[in-house]
Amino acid sequence: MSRPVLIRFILIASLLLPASLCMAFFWPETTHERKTNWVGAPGPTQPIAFYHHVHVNELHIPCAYCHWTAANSRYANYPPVEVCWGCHKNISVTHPQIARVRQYYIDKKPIPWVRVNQQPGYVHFVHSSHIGAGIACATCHGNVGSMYAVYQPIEMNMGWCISCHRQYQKKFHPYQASVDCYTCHY
Amino acid sequence: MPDAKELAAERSSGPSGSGEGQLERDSLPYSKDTEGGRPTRKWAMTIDLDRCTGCHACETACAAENNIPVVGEQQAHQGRLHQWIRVERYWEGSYPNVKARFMPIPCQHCDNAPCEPVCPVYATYHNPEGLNAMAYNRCVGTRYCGNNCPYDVRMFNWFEHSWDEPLNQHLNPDVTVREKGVMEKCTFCVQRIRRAEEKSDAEGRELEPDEFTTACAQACPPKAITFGNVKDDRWSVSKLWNDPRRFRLLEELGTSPAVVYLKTVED
Repeated sequence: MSRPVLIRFILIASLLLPASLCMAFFWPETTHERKTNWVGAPGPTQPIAFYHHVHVNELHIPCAYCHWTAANSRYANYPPVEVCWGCHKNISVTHPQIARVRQYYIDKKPIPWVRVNQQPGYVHFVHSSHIGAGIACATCHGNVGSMYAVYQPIEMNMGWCISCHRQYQKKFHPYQASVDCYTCHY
Repeated sequence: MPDAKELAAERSSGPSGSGEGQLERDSLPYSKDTEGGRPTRKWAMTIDLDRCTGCHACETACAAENNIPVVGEQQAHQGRLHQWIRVERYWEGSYPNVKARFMPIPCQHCDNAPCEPVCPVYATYHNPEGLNAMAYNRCVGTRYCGNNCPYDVRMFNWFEHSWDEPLNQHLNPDVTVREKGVMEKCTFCVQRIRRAEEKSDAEGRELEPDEFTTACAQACPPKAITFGNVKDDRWSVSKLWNDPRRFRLLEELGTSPAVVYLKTVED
């Protein structure tokens, strides 16, 4: 390599390197990255130390008591503060965490729960179909009752969905589970 | 794809598939007797040009339903306009006796779609319900499909689109907001098909005829657009499907579109 070419190469490289580093840090994130990633314990810190362990394992409250829209909607809801308050205006009112729930209730503000299970924007998962087919919540969400801070037990990726759609297609539902792309991606 | 073939073999051996007619079923892309135990469907559309007044309500309804970005005048001028259905206007005759003719053109969902074989990553394919499917998360943006489409209905996202403050609240949560670098096109409002299926599945019944329709058909004031399942005679689209006025756009190309136009009746 001749000397002027070498100098030019070094100049261009010295310009490109910081540029690429800047791009790596400041490039806007794409939808492929907009996904919560709480796979494996521990889960995120929630605004209130809510114990699924107490509510599910000890008190045996069904999932649908708080997350009732899962049965007939695409999405499973967070319970509004009124649902917490419905029981906790009478139960363990002296607990410091319940005092915070009361404060949210008095202020008429929703509790800013941190979302743990989320699919990317191009996936349209439907809760109601899966509940209707008799799939237990724990199949995907794990044994939430044994978690102190809720986390994703498994990374919910497409291969995992498809494996179940192929394996259990005739067990739960008179129709086969569809493996067409247009079932979820549209 | 070997996977799809294996799957088809698995299905036909199951309780829902029957052994006979296997060859015939496999030779056509959509016409399996059953898809996952469901009765066969073929989603199709008829557009009555005699009824169309060229009001562009279908375009507006489509943009609202499918999160279609407004790219602005300059981008539209460069041929980057986003419209999943466009109304083409033709002038006929000369000045005193001028006649305007209109033709709404959505994706034709061709049975032999030219866009499908050219995709290197199988992002666009024909699904068993006769839809020309487009998986955005699979698309790598080669734009071969758009170049191969004779109807020019595929749009490419050249930029990351944004919606100004109140408008970002109107986005339809059932439709993906497409990101930069993917191709997009009319889906025959597949989100509405899925919604209707979920509802009918929950109630333990089959889809009722004309239970739902696409956004463009719903918004069309003179009811020029009809959408539905042509494999079921009870749907109103299957009554119009074999109308004597029928023709299909660029039929000589052999693409076999799922959109049938009905000719204007001359006085």
